[in-house]
Amino acid sequence: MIKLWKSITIPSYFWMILGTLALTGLWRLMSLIYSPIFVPSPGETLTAVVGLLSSPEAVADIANTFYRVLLALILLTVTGIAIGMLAGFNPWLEQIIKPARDILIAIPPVAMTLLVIFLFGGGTVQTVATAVALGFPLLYGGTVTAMRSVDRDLMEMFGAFKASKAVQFWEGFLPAVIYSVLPIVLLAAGLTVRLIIMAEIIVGMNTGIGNALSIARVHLATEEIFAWLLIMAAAVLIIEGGLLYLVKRNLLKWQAGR
Amino acid sequence: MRASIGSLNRLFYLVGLAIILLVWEILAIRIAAGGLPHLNTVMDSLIHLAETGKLWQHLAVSWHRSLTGFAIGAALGFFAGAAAGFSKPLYYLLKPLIGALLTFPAVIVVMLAMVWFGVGSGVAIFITALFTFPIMYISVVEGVGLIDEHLLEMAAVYRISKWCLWWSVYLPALATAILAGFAFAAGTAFRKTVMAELLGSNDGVGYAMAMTRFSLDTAELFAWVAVCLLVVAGIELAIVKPVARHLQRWRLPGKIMKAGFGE
Repeated sequence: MIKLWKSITIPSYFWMILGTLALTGLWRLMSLIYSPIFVPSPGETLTAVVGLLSSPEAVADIANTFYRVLLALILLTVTGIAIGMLAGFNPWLEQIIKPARDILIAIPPVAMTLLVIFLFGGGTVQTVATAVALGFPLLYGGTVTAMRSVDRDLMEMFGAFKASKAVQFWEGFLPAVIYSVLPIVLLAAGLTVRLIIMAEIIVGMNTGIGNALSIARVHLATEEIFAWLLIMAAAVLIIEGGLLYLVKRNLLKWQAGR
Repeated sequence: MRASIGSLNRLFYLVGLAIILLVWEILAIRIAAGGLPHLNTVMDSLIHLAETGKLWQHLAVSWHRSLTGFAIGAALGFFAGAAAGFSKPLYYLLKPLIGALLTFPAVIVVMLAMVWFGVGSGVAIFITALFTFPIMYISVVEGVGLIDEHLLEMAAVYRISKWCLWWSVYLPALATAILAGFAFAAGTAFRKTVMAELLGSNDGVGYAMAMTRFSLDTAELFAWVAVCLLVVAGIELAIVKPVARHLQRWRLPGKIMKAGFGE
């Protein structure tokens, strides 16, 4: 018996579940101490989640935000990888782009949003553009780094096979770069969700989750803010999980194809 | 040879900077009515802010908030990180909390904080502390992981005193982690403070920026953006760069990157 007990190791997910329960318990405790306007209980929040997910307006808000996130993510991935590859091939270009990149990294995202509003007004295009500009350095930097690690071993191999330059690029270099940049795209997905919501709130869009949040705050509907927080966390997890799944499947295909 | 490559790179960097300013100036001439101010207008606005004392007043408020929030978040992150680094159960116990903090959009948390604390310093300090915490936590957990097992074994064999063990094995590894976390969180802290101020405060740099929206003073907005860039660049040159030079082998894990970027 004793031996059996000793051989049981407590799995890590047990502690994670315990941690989640502890957080929920703490939350419940806080909701007992403070009024629902400050801390709604987990039950009230879940009701609000169900309420939001079954109301057509909230679903439309989610769809709007999701559309903007997708647009921004695609744009910043394509531009980031394209310009990153150009800079990777031309070190002088990398240096010339560097100040712009430094500014985009250093600028407080809210300030960037205000600048865009001032210069171009508010709207979906401007919201997306803000997220693209702020997410761009992540993808661009990732691509430049990826190219440094890819080119040596791969180019040598292709050189040995005497493949043409075009084949070297399209069949060898590009897939290798994109493959090593994929984890960064994953990182950028979560970032884009947060940037778009921020931009929606500051631009003052009248659609989207940012708008729903602004309204909830004005009405002191704290349980709705809590509900959005949960929905957003779940959405980010689903987006990251979904992308990860796609990446893994395509990776297997890619490897099988070789 | 090496030095010449370095100076060539610096030259290209300056060329890049010049291109940005040039494009800006051309755009300002082209769309003069469209609201993009000239460089000298922005400079005038900046000087005006400095002369009237508005600049120092708001900057001091933001600086104070971001330092307070940073200190609280970094201290909590350090102790939690050190504890979790040495205890696997605690690490997994805290994992949901850290995961939540990394996925929650900061703007939504700002809105909650506005309900909790009202308009004022509370929101900015809370947000800055809350988002400094996971950065420091992850750095310290990683730092504990960096402690050399072989050195520990050797120390046990040679019966090194506890004090000596701390001084020569634990502390160097943890110091590396703390420095990396500090460097990365410092720039983030200021940006988070500005965001919190923009949405929920009645003073500070973020508030001053939000106000330019109502006065439609584009030049002043650009001046404030320049101030932010100078502050972040100052932190970068004074703290991050020197630290990075000492820690070339330290690679920031992806999670820290995630915590650092975006809102």
